[in-house]
Amino acid sequence: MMPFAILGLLSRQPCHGYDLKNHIEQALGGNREINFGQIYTTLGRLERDGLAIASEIEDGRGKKTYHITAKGKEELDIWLNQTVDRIEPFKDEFLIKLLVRNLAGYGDILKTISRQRQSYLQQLRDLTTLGTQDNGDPFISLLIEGALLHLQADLRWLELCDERLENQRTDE
Amino acid sequence: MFDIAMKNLSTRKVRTALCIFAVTAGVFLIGVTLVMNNWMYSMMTEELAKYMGKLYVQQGGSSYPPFDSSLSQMVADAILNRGDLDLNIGNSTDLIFVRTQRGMMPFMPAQQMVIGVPAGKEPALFGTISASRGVNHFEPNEQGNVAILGSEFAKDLTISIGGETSINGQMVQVVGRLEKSSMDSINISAIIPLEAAQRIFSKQGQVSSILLTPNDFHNTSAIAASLREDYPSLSVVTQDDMLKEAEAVMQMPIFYMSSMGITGLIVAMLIIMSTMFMAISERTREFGTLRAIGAQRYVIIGTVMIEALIMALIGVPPAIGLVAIMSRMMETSLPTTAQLLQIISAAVFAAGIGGAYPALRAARVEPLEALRYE
Amino acid sequence: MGPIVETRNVCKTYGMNGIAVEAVRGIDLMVNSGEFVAIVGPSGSGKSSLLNLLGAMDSPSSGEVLFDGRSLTELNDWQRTTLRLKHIGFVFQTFNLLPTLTASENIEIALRLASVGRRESAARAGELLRLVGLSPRALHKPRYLSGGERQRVAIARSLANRPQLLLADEPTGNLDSQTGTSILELLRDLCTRNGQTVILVTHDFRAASYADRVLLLRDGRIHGETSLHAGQDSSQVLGQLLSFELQWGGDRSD
Repeated sequence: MMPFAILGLLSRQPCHGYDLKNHIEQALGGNREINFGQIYTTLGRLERDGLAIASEIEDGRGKKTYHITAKGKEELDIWLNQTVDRIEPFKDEFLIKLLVRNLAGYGDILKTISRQRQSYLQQLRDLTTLGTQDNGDPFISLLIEGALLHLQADLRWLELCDERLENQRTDE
Repeated sequence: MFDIAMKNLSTRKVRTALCIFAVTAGVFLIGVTLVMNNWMYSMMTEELAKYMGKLYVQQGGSSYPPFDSSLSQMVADAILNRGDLDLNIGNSTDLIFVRTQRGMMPFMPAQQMVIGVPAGKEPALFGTISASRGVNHFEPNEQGNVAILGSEFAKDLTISIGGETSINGQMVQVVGRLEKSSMDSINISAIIPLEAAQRIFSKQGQVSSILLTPNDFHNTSAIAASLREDYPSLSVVTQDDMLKEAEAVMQMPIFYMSSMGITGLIVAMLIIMSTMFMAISERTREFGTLRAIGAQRYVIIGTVMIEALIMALIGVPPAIGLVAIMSRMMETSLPTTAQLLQIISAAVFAAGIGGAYPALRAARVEPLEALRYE
Repeated sequence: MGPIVETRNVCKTYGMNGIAVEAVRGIDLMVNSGEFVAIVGPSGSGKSSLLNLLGAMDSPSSGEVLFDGRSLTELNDWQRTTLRLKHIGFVFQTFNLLPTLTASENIEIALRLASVGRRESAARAGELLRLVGLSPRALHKPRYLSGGERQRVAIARSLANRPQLLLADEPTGNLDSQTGTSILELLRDLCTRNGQTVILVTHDFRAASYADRVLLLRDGRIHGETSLHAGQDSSQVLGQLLSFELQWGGDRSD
């Protein structure tokens, strides 16, 4: 995310590293401290890939100003217009764990599910408590809401796992 | 309970109005029945008051008015001359009754008739009625065909005093016309001299009945008893007998009208029952909720019954008002207090029965109904 | 002090047209005073039937339901109704307010049923409306209230006779998520601050997460239970969320 966030900011106007840090922190509702190292590392990579360029304009502070290149703009556009896939191969770590247990014949699947459920529920609780503190920032709310919805879906999916795998066990 | 009931009624105005209207109609019909009853009884009493203390002696088995009775005039005179009965001779006489037209409806006594009375004995028949025109009595020893017309009868014909009309095919001269009196329920076409009546209707030597007036009306029953003993083949009709007769005649109309009233009430009851039933069905969720939050069954029943009752009671005053207006129009008396109570209890009864079934159904709604999601 | 409500191997079977439907198949559960318990299950899991039994609205086919130590099976309809009146409060998915009464009157009626006088009922209703933040709407009839407001009135009504147990059946089912959240928070508050015992029956995990304990219902049986603790420090949580987003993987050549 970081490279594109920086490119996005640079596409508006050239910035110092310091400005970049401030803008991004603001976007995150002032909830997270970004350190310079991370910014400069990313800037370095962008330069290396020809997406941004630093100019040595002395403005009294001796700091470099960074600009976005044409190639950088192009890459940004492509990325922004690309849709995001949900159908991703085998990403859910939990399902992999279940699969492994099943393959290895190792451990109680249902207990695993139960513990994961506990974890998800607690996360749900944590998030709802977070949600009560009004951020005001629409993106933060959306972030929280998104996480909540995913958790709900995950919990429903867990119930399904529980149901189906339980039945399978009794069938055997 | 009362609060909920009132709220429900005021919110669902149309249904409430319908039920109230039904009750008003039903109660009105009952009220009408009672008023008509009163009217008939007062008419009857007024009518029969004239006969207080009097006796009619007629052919055995006949009743008053004695259209079908036939007595020999000699027997009649014999009885009239019995001194031992202490009769007021001036007001006792033999009479001929002839029916000229039946009453229009089976239960209405009005009918037209001609009465033959000896000259000089006219007062015996109906006390002192004056004539609105002409004379109210015959000349003594009148031999011709003369008649005094009844007030209602004369209205229908355009006959003036001195003119002629025909009775049973024979021409008769009109010498007088009676004024309107209470006798009018038994509508007299005309009064003619007894001898003329015997001539015109071919009843020579016969009379229909003997009217006896004792000097002391306390003696009436004694005289009646004595006469029945002496003349077992004859009928002796007193006021009491007439009363019984009249009551018997009135049974039919009373029955018809009561049926009408009761039907009205039953219809009101059914209307209440069906509208309340519809309302109950709409409110199952409400009743379920009430039960769920802890209302006992009797509370539900009470609410519904109170609604029915309130509607019924609201319907009563307008009904009574209408009945009062009707009484005024018919010039009869208003219902008595006892009768008003009857009316109110009829309304309450209708509401009670009408509301009972819906109320019981409402109370049977399970609390579970509150949980159903639709 | 013993549990407020307890079931022991409780079963409920409905017979319809000769076909028996086992809605509840042997459930043991226990809810203590001051707890907020959620019962989660999909539709058809027996949620409503269980709620029915817990709320003394129906009798079990077998097994026992105990309220405050007393078995409900011996009670007749009158006694169960009294129990519901004085010791249990209900909140329904469909709010179930009486449409002909104002908000205040809807609360008063619960009190009047318990033979509380007119003036006192009105006073207490006012108190409860303040508690749920609806004082200005006291004289409005339900049709002029929003969904969330109606549910608040319903909650106020349920608290009228200071019940030992508050039973909520999908209270947010007919509400949008924001309003629903405020209702759940209200319930949460009543538990935390007033020590009200609450049982929430729902199919929504999110609603269930407001509880201290979550019971999982499926096919008429409880197949799992989880205890939850209060949300951890929120800044940490947010930090966690945000850190996911700031993955340094970043290279588009990956």
